[in-house]
Amino acid sequence: MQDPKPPISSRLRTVRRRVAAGAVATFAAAWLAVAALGKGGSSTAATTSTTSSGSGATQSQSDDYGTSSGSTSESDSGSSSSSGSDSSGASSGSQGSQSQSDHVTTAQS
Amino acid sequence: MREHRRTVEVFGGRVALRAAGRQAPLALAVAEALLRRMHAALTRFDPESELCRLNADPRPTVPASVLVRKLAAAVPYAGELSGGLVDATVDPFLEPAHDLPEDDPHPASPDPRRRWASVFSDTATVTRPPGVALDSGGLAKGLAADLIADHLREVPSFAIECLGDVRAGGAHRTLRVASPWDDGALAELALDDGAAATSGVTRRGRHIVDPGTGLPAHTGVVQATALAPTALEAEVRAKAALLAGPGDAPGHLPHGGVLVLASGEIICL
Repeated sequence: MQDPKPPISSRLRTVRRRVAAGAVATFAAAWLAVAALGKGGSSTAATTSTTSSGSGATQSQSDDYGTSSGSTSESDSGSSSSSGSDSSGASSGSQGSQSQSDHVTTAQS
Repeated sequence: MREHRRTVEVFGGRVALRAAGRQAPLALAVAEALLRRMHAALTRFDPESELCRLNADPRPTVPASVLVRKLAAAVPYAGELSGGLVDATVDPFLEPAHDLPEDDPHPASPDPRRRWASVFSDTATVTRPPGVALDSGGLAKGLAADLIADHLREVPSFAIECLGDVRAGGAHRTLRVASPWDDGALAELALDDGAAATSGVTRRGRHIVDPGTGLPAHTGVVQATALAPTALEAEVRAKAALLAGPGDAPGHLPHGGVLVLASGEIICL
């Protein structure tokens, strides 16, 4: 009689496939949400209800200073970031971290 | 609940994003991408931006992305809400006016041509008389904060500090109103779900234009902070209060705010 449970390697392969599919789907959803704003879409960005992991990636485009930068987000257990720099020396990009401050500030810009 | 934080440099300044919850990291990453797209589309300083191309387009009706259409929709909204004082069709006074003669302060007045009322947007295009340019300064900040807030509405709590404008939700927070003269705080207010914006002339000089004269305004109000349900409304109300002068400014702050007069007097509403 055949064992109803597939071998461990097969199960691991299935899990890997699901994780990969989830990551691709999450990235695609985020990319489409951003792309819709610039392509004459009739609604604003969709929310991220499809996410299943603590990481994400974005594509971004050039800003005023000719910078093109990408970033990766922090995970729940820490943070990481990458940023680009522009020819004028001004920093551009992003920082990721966790905070617990409940203060916000309004000021002249 | 701990909040994830992300800082993005766009619109010539810094936007700080915070969000709580398991979805926060991805939501903040998407928010950053949205901000960069807004910046690219709405900047006045890149002739290739969609806004600059729209302003240079000789056609009265021009196809536009949703971002530019939202800005176009904000122009008549701001004009109507402020009685014409916040006129995003007025050429911005880009250089700080530190060396202007100190005339007597007087309230600003609306441009009688009401060009802001000639701007329309629909589901695909923006319509305005050719030659009427849209200025994203100010309105774009509030618009960006509101769009990001809309994107973050699924997370338990969030806060957006967008170049002086604030939009927050889902948690009790303390709103600090920055002093017009130094790095200190002028006042602290409660902010749960809502927005705040500050307009002033002590940091960058007299850069806010009186629509009636086309010259830098000198109204006797040096800083105005407005509370409102949305950042766009707060931005419009703060600027309108500053332009209206001490007498009429409180009428532009129905949701509360803080005024700082040239005499140094501080008025909490």
